[in-house]
Amino acid sequence: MTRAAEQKLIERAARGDRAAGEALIKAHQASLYNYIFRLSGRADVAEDIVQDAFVRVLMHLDRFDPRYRFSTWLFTIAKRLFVNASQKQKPRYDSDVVGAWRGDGMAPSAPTIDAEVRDNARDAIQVALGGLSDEQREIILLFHQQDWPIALIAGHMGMPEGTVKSHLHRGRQRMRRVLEACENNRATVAEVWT
Amino acid sequence: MNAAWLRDLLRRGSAGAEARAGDSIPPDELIDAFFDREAGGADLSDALKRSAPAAGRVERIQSMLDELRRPTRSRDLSASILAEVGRRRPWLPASMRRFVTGGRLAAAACFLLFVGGAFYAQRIAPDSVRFTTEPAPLTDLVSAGRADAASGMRTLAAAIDCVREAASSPKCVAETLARPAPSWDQTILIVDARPSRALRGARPLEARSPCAVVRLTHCQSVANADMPQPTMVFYQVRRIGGPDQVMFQMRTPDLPAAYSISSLPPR
Repeated sequence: MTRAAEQKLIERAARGDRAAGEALIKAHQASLYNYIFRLSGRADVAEDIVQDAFVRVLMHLDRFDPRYRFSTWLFTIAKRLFVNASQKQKPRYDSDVVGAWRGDGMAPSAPTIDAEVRDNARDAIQVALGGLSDEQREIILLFHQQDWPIALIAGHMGMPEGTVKSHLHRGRQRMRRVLEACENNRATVAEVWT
Repeated sequence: MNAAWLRDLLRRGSAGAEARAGDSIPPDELIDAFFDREAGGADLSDALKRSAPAAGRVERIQSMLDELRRPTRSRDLSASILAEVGRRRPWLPASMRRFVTGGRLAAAACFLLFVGGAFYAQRIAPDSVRFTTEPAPLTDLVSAGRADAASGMRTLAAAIDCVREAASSPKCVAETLARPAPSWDQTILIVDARPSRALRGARPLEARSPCAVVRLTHCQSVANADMPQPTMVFYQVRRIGGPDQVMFQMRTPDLPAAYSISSLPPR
């Protein structure tokens, strides 16, 4: 969607046009969900924050400054909501393996092991992201997932472009190392339980 | 990134490759530049052909980033978002939006017409727009405000006059009081908390005591943080004899002032 078309949608939605609001949501909800999901690692948190962010944005469309990108504004609000939610919530530990383990000396059931191995593979990228600092994770996601240019990320994060690049490089290296470790771990899990 | 820098990187990579017989690793800067979208894929692939471990590393990073870009399955939240927004601020159908826009325009036009009409009526027949001759509360408020402003201006003008007089009066006082005297021993300074305005036209009584003759020469206002409007009063003293302290009085238009000169000049 071009910025001009997006601006028209914003103006229509601000005047109370439901269809324009829906078009704005459909244009941005997937990328915003992916971003928050990768930041938080939890689907329920991502859904709550995406919904809350869109509600706030649609309620205050008259405050939108058309000199900036709508997505930048939306992501900034969502990030703020995520930070607030993170400060309120405590980390939750739940693993199917731990839940299924009855402590009677028996191994977990086969479906549980399969699910764990499958989750390991699926969540390896999330584990790798979890190994990054908050800044590195956000910068990696904005650059490699959302395709934001370095200059825009620097403005969004309030740091020089050189620092953004440094976070990018270190974040990629760290993720690669964690992923390699995950691959080794997955091979070990499969080898032990099968 | 400029092309020369890239060529330099590749040359360094190539030189290393020749030295290590095809086992060179492309510099990390080149890999980072590629993933930062600052170096082309062709540049990197040339360098990677000479290094299998580096190629594997780049491939792992690329697959990691591809995984990052893969969309996550999520349900469509638009219905719940629109419902929540609609609950707080109802969405309007197209006809209603046109009505709202037209209504706003009509309200603005009515306001402009009213203001213009009132102005025109005031110009044509001033009395016609005066609804009552009795003072209204708003009129009282406006007049009270005007009175306050006038009072404030008068106070300010009086203060300015006071300062102006304070600056000019000391000389007059000195001239009034100057009278021939054979000789004066010393000029003494007393700081008085009263403004110099209080000393305007001051006449000392014959400040002759058994020990000294005192005369006022001039006084002036000085700014001092401790005493808001002090006056420096200058006296001349001629010692006659007796104790070392003298009390004399000076008549002013407002009140008599008594000054004590604690120490007289040595005889």
